[in-house]
Parts: sequence; C-alpha cells; structure tokens
Amino acid sequence: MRFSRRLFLIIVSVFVLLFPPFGQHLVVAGSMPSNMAEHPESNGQGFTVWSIGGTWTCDGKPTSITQDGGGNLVFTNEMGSRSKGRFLNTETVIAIEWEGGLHGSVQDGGKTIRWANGTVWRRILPESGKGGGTITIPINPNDSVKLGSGGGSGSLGVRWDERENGFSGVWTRRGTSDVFDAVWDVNGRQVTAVLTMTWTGSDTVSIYRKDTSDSLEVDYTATIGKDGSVTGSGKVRSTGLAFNWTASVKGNTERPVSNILGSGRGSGLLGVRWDERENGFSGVWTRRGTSDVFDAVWDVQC
Amino acid sequence: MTWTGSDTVSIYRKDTSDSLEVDYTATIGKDGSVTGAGKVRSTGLAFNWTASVR
Repeated sequence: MRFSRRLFLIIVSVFVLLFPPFGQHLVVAGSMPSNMAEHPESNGQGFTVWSIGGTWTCDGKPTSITQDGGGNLVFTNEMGSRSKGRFLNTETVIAIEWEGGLHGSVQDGGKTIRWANGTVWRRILPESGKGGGTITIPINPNDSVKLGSGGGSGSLGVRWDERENGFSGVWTRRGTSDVFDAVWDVNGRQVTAVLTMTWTGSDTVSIYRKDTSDSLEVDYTATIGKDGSVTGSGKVRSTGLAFNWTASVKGNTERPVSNILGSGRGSGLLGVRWDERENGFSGVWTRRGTSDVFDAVWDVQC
Repeated sequence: MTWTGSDTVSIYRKDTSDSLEVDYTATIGKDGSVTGAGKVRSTGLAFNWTASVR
C-alpha cells in the first residue's frame, strides 16, 4: 500500500511536470537579460525587444531580417522565401507566413534565433560593431484600452495578458482577425498555441485553443468587461479538467465588417458572404458578424 | 475558418442537416475569388470548389 501511494505521487509529479499549465505554480527560471523588461509593457511606454534587423546566416547561407520601429518584421530565409512577422514577447518571434505561424526563440542577446522547425539563424554583425542592442516598440496612445460593449465593438483589442493555473501567457492578435497567437513560458519551456475566438454574446466569446507545441486542445469561455478585464473558465478536451482564468485586454481595434478585400490575414478578407459552388451545387455562406464562423446552406435537388 | 497563410484558410464544415463533415482549403484572391479543394471525411472523396467573397 505504501509503495502504491509513493508510485501514485511519482505519477502525479511527472504529470505536473509534463503538463504544467494545469499543475501548481512553479517559479520560472528565466534567462531574461537584465537590461530588458521582464514584462513587455512594463515601462508603460512600449515594450523592449532585441534589435534583430540585419544580416543573418542559416547553415552558412545568408538570411536577413528587416525590422521597423513599429515592431513589424520581415524574414527572408536562405531560399529567398519571405514572411512577415513580429515579436510575440521579448524573446519570441513569429513568422506568420511560414508553416502556419513559425515560432522562433531569440537567444544569445539577440544574436541567435532557434526556430521551432529546428533551424538556427545566427546574426552577422558589421565590423563597425553597430547593430544589435534593443529597441522599444511604442504603444500607440490611441490603443489605450477603450473597450466597447462587445460583439462588434472592436473589443478584442490587440493583445491579451492572460493568467491560468499560475502561469502567464501573452495572446497576440493576428491583425484584426479573431485569431491569436499565444505563448506561455512554463518552467523555461515555451508552450505555443493558436486561438480562434467567436463572439457568443454582447460581451462574451468562446475560444478554441489548439497548441502548436504539443497536442493540447482547450475550450475557453470569456466575459470581457468594458475596462478590458476578462474572466472565464476553461476545459481541457482530453481530460475534461476545468479551471478558471483571467486576462486583461490591451488596445482597441475596430473589427472589420467589410466587403473590402485586403492583402490577406487580418484585413477583413473573409467578407460577410461567400457565394460558393461545389460539385454542381451552389451554396451561400453567411458570416456570423465578424467571427470566423459561417452558416452555410445549399439547395440540393436529387 | 482558420487562417493558415497570408491568403489561405482551412475550413471545417459540420452539417447540421445530416452527419456530413468536410475539410476545405481555400486560397483567397485580392479580387475576392476563392479556389480550393475539399475532402469528405467519411468517404475520402476529394473535389475542387470555387467561391466569391462579398
């Protein structure tokens, strides 16, 4: 019996280590540079990230990154393929057009990027020694939290600082879409996910989380207050484990209800109605507000 | 719908009138034209489809 109890405790401990978002809070042994803010927005003016624009190499082949003052990045790999991107937090970048959103860990003082697909980029600094260091991405004063009444009022913001089960996450919105890239730092390991939000009421949303770093799937509900505070509950699909969580929404972005087509993700490209045709039949897909969910109907005569 | 690239989405269809489930992929042009492929989960039947976004 004593052995069984010990074995049970060992199994529980291993589970907590493997799935820390749902275990007790453990102190994160981070490697944050001392000259950088631990929390990106902590100085109130913006958030500080590594200056990574310039020439890089991947296995000896040249690659490059351009970086503007607004935090926008363009990655060019050794094959000449380009992807837009941005910082998800001070130590994580995402190339949104590669592999459905390829994450990279910025290490070694901004001189190394270890991509989630295993490739490693190393920075080439000019002989002058200039380059590197950090830059501060300003937060647009107009992006201060001005949340409306939800459900089309643009209250999804641009970034959610989230907390669940003792761990903190940063959810970064893809443009003005209802899709967010999420990252949690869990005991020094990065957990990443793609979140899809759907309005379910005037101030409530449902959120589907699909991890890209593992196979976890979670359903969240959330109630968004006018001050940007969020409270909700979550449930892990595989285990049924339920938990509560909180977040604060940063920034206000009008969500498009538009038939104006832009250049891609986040530009309102989904429109409001799709006239679809497949296998000789015509369908009409009608968008639910500005969500990513459509109701479809086909007239099928047999 | 879930964005999978700058101009591509994946779409999961779950019929409410029957039990059909279909996975679509789509490429959306700047003019609102859509081309893509679909696959019925139960049978594996694959097909092409088109749409226009309004």
